[in-house]
Amino acid sequence: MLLLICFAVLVAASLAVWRLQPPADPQGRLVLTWVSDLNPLRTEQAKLFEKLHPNVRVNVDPDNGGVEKVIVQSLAGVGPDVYDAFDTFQTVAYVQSGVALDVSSKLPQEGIDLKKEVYPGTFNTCFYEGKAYGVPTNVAVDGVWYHKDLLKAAGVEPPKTPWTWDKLIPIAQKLTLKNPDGTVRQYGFLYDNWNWADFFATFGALVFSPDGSRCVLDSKPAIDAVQVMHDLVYKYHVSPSPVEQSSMATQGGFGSGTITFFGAKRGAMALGGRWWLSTLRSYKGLDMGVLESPYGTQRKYHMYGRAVLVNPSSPHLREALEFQKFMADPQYLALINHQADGIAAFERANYLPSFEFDPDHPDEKDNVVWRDIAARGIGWSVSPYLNANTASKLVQDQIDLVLADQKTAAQAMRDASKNIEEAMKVSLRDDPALKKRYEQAGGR
Amino acid sequence: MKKQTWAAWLFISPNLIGFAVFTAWPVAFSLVASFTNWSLERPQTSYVGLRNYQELLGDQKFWLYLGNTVYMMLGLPVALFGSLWLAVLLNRKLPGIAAFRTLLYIPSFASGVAIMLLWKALYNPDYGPINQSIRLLYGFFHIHADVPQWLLSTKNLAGLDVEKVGITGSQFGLGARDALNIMGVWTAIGGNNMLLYLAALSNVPEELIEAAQLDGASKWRCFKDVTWPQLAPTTFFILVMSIIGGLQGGFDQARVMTTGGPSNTTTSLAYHIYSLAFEQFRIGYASAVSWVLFGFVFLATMVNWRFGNRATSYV
Repeated sequence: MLLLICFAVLVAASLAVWRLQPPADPQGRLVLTWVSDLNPLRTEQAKLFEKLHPNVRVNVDPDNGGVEKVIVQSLAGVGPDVYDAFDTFQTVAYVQSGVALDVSSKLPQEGIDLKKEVYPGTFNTCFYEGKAYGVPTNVAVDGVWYHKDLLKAAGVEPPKTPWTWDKLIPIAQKLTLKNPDGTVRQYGFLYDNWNWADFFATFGALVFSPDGSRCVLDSKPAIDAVQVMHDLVYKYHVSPSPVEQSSMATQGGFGSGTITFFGAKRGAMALGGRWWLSTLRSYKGLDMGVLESPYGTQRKYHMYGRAVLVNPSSPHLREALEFQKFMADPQYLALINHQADGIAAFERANYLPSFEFDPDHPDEKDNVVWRDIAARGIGWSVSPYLNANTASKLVQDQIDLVLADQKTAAQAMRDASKNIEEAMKVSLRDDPALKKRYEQAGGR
Repeated sequence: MKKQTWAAWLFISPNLIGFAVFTAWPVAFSLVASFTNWSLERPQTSYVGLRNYQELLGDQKFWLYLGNTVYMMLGLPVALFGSLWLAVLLNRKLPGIAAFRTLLYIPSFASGVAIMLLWKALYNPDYGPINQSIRLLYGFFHIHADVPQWLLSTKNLAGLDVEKVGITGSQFGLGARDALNIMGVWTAIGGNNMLLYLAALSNVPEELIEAAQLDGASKWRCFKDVTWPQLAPTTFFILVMSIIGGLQGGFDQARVMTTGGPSNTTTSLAYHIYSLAFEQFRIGYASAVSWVLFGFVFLATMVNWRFGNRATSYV
């Protein structure tokens, strides 16, 4: 009997502790969970929403970021209220998994017409098969950052744009400086191995045919794009190999190692977005300029950016939709531009004088360049017949081999194409409805 | 049932319920899932029989990653004998021996992620202390050779190919898999295995050693013929646990240090399962791979049990 009483006391104590836990918000506000990245800028963005909606506290939750976590948690009924999709691949995965709310009819009611107001390059992150799911939080396109003093020291004038990759090479060679022992002291041009989408866009290369039924990586544009990536490293020696890149070692802060490497002036030019400023603003004494990225066969640039999506099973659906609508708020758009968190996705915000010149950052005189590049931004090609993560990984695997000088660009793209086609076959085999749709669309 | 039995069941019920809900049920469910085409991307799931298992047999990646997993277990014997050697050293009655024992146990209680990040820095091909030392040695002995690229290289001491199961001469060298092996040996030598051997060594009856010494046995002979047989049950236990851990391992290192690269050469079966389930969302197929991995673990344990037990003698 005594044991039973002990057990009952333990259960009662557990219940009491559970009941006594502090409220999610001490002020009794509704807590809206936003899964986004670790970028410290998010806190200020959340605070702006809280200011406009005093009854809501936004809990920025970077720890549960990642497609797998959002999908699994949302399907289990404990997902976030709103979450970011960072690229086309993620949006497709969320929609196909059924954890993204279709807001096609809701947005017009709020006076938002995405097709007219945001950059077309973001459409793939917002729309899927004609339906709207996301509202872009910001967008990014990559340009060429350069250190004005390093160009001056090498006697190089900032190149005239538009320019092609061929034009970049001799300039980058002049800017590549070596130590007496032959090691490189300063690279002419930096890029990350995952920048392949940038190179692809400037050559008009696609992963999939427009209807998504075939992988077209074994095409001349894709091979040419990868060849340029390879040649910058191994033929012209103006960019670091993966081994050399690792020596750059991320030195902390938000973003990749390449940003800090560029900030430390180990590279004279670098392929990157305006969002790099969120790290580079903390560096003292940098005098940087921005150029439109070089192009291959077409003056188009890869546009990427986040979009905020709503979890259809959110218990705070009204507030979640308010948060999505907040992405179009002029105050939010101005904050994005002021923070240099890419540029505002709603074009109108980038034609205001406050974007062209920010008195808090008077040295940043090239904002117009970002706007011009964005106007030429294009989205990414996806296939409804293959998980986008899988496709991306299969491409990246092959690009890595090229950048490790273990495969030719042509061979790598042929293998990537073959691997993607095989993965697509498995995907179609596992999903009869998808296969039927594929066959109806003319696929074989 | 007696009152006390009821009470016992009641008290273990929280643990039992937790085990049933969070371990037994998912394990059983994953077996069922392995016979389906369950994908997080699709609302419909259907029974596909043994198709996942058939696909797995023909999936080159599965065999490649199994090869990686086995390759990254090659350090196990070194770690095992290293632990024994360290335990023998620490089993002496010397001043400050407790401090040495604590120091050598550090890899076990230090944060795994911190250790991995530390090793990542050590392996930096240009600025890492390991390659700096190798360069110094090369300079001293006038050797003109490239230093290993460690975590960035697909090379390995067995010359395993990157994209297909087989051996290629061009892949021979030191690379990421070897780097993880070395780190694994370092971590395992001073860890729990050392403690187990220390405990076992302290249980070896001193009179047996004294008797051998009286019979004129050398120190080595005493160790080989008296101490080592007494350690057999511990060695057997460590071996079994290491093989199980090795087959299931490689996830943390891949996640923290290499993301499975370069070119998937450090992708172990555990990391492959994660990637299949949570990056490609193929839960059904990932479950099948998990059960095949379980089969390997079970088989390895049975083989050990069958043949290892035979060698475990009690003097």
